[in-house]
Amino acid sequence: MIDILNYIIGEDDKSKYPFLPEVGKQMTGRNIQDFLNSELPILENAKDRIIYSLKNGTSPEFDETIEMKTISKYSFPIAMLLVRSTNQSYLISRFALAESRRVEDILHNENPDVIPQIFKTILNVKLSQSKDINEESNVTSEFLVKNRFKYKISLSDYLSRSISLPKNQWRLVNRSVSSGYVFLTQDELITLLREEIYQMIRSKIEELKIPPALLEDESMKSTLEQILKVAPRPPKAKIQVFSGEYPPCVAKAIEMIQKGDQVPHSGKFLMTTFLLRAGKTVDDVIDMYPTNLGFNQNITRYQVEHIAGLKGGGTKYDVPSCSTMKMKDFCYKTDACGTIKNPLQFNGKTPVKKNGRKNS
Amino acid sequence: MEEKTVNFLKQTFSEYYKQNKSRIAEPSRIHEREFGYWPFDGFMQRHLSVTNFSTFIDELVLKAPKGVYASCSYYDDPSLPMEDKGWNGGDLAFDIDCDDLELKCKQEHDRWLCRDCKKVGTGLRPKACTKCKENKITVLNWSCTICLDAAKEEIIKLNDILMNDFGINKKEISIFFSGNKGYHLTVESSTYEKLDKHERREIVNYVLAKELDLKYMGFDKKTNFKDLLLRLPQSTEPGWRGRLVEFFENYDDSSLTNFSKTEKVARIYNSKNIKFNKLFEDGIKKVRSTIDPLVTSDTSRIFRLPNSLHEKSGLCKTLCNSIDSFDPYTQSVVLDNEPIKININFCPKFTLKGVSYGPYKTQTLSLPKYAGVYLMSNKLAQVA
Repeated sequence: MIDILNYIIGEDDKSKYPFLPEVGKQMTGRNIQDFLNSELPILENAKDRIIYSLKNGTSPEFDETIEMKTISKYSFPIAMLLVRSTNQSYLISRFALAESRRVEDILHNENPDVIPQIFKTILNVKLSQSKDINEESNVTSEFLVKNRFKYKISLSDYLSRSISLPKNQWRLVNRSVSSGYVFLTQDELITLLREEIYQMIRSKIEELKIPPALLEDESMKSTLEQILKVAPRPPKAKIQVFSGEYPPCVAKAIEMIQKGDQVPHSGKFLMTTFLLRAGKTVDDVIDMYPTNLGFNQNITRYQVEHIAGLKGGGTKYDVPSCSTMKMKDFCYKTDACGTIKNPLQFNGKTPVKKNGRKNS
Repeated sequence: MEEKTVNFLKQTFSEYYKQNKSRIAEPSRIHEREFGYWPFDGFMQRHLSVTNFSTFIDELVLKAPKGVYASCSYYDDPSLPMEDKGWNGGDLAFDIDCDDLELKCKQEHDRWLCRDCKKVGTGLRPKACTKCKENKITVLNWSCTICLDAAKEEIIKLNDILMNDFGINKKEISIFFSGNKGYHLTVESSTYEKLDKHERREIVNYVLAKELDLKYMGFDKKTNFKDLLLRLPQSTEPGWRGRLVEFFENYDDSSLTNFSKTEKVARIYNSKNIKFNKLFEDGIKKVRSTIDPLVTSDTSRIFRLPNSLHEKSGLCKTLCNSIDSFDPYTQSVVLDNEPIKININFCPKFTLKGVSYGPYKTQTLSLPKYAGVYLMSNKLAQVA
């Protein structure tokens, strides 16, 4: 049992959240072969876990027996190794998405005491619980109970996450805000952080370095072959991408989105604004986001329509400038870019309407 | 503006910077900010990096610009073009301008001039000249004590929102009279300095109560009256829910005085005699702060430097230590009272340093320098 802040992470939690550092610590110093050759069917379970995830888009449910909890706890890292070994970003995305959905389902019914510790550990997000926030936030417990607010999150942490959520419900103006904090119900908190859970699992898989010797292991090789045999193939891009016509940053965003790679918000925003400005319809742009890689079509539609100025306050968003993309670390400048200041100016095709800069 | 007048203003501004070197406080994180100035006879100079503030002030004495600016943003290298500067964050900045407040007094003191037939009219600008029907109109957006009192009310509301809702410490907030038609408020807080343009736009929408949705405040026409009473917020609740409910609770209607606060609000919502949506809009206008939405979300903007002169008034951008008692037409008058002779075109009544002047028609007269510069900066007079 390991104490994280005030909450004790137990064996149950480790099987539910096998990406917690505590599981990693338990594996430290142990040979992977121990798990592959274990009496427990860890490798078999990892394979089933992956195949089920790839086919169904969610993770299988496990029995509540102690033996099964141990198997599922250790099969997760082995499954990550297997998925990483496929070297296919499409499969990595599908598996990470399935696992993140499993975690989400668990979190919706989780003990409220556990949630702040889980998020602090995996996402470094600091949350306070309602039982601690009455006095410091100058709100009454009646207000918290009536609105089912169990948590508060700092305003800057809230904004950086809510900005990509489409519904009016997430706009700051429609939230209860006090003393620099935003109040949330348990379900709202999980929705707010769902993308990060997915990204966290994905990053963990992508960061894995596979020892070459492991790929020579017969049981690994055979399991990998079985997975690849039944794994779904990546869908064909619905719109032909001629990367030569797009500025390199936009081409990169399109390529990554359609391959299922991890794309930062800035990349998705760039692609959407650029394609809309280049004359694509809202439906054309929505079609660029593959639904089988976790892009919810309703959410995507809202976001694209919002950017196009059809929703919300009616603001039509401009294509971000090269300096913004550089600042967001999503600039893939080539010689062909020359001295352009906005991706729209690539190849000298589209002049950018300059907004007058005012001084106050 | 005549060359003689420009030269006089230039000389006056130069003397001000020479005599007030120590008055102009060095901004924090000076090495990370972009500086700029606008000469009377040239283009805006931007992307300046200042390493020694005293040397920069010496340059102001020499160049005597009509406006001096510094960025709210912090950069790796402020001297590079915008796309290469390397943005590292920035103060939260807000601008309130009395021209945005739809004030009735504008009808009385604003003027317009037809450049074609020279007709002068009172009030807001017509689409075309009422005499010759030409569209060659110059506008005089005048401001008076009523205008600046209204802007002050807005800045006080903004200050309350920032402190109560956003938890910003009083020490992190600076309020300035802009030197002309309103107030600036800046927040130097590590908690908020990294917010990007989109996140700052959310802050803007919050302050303006833009996209505020009744549904998320518990108001729902499909809900029966009993459930509505349970769902409606209390005025003690934080943020917009509390503020707007308080507005409804205070709505003056004698037929609703015997009900509890929540029931009064529910009855207003369900009333057939009260246009609720109109009342809701009135409530928003009353409790929100009318900031300029473009300023806060534009991280590349440069702001007038505190204690520098405003070219449209000759008044000084001034820190308001106590906003409630701040008098812009006294505390921001920094030029001397040496008499100067000017030719006035026309001008409405104005008050500076507690002395009322005008209204004047076309005439030549002697006024204290600060009053003369005020009229010349407003393009209503020239050096005689």
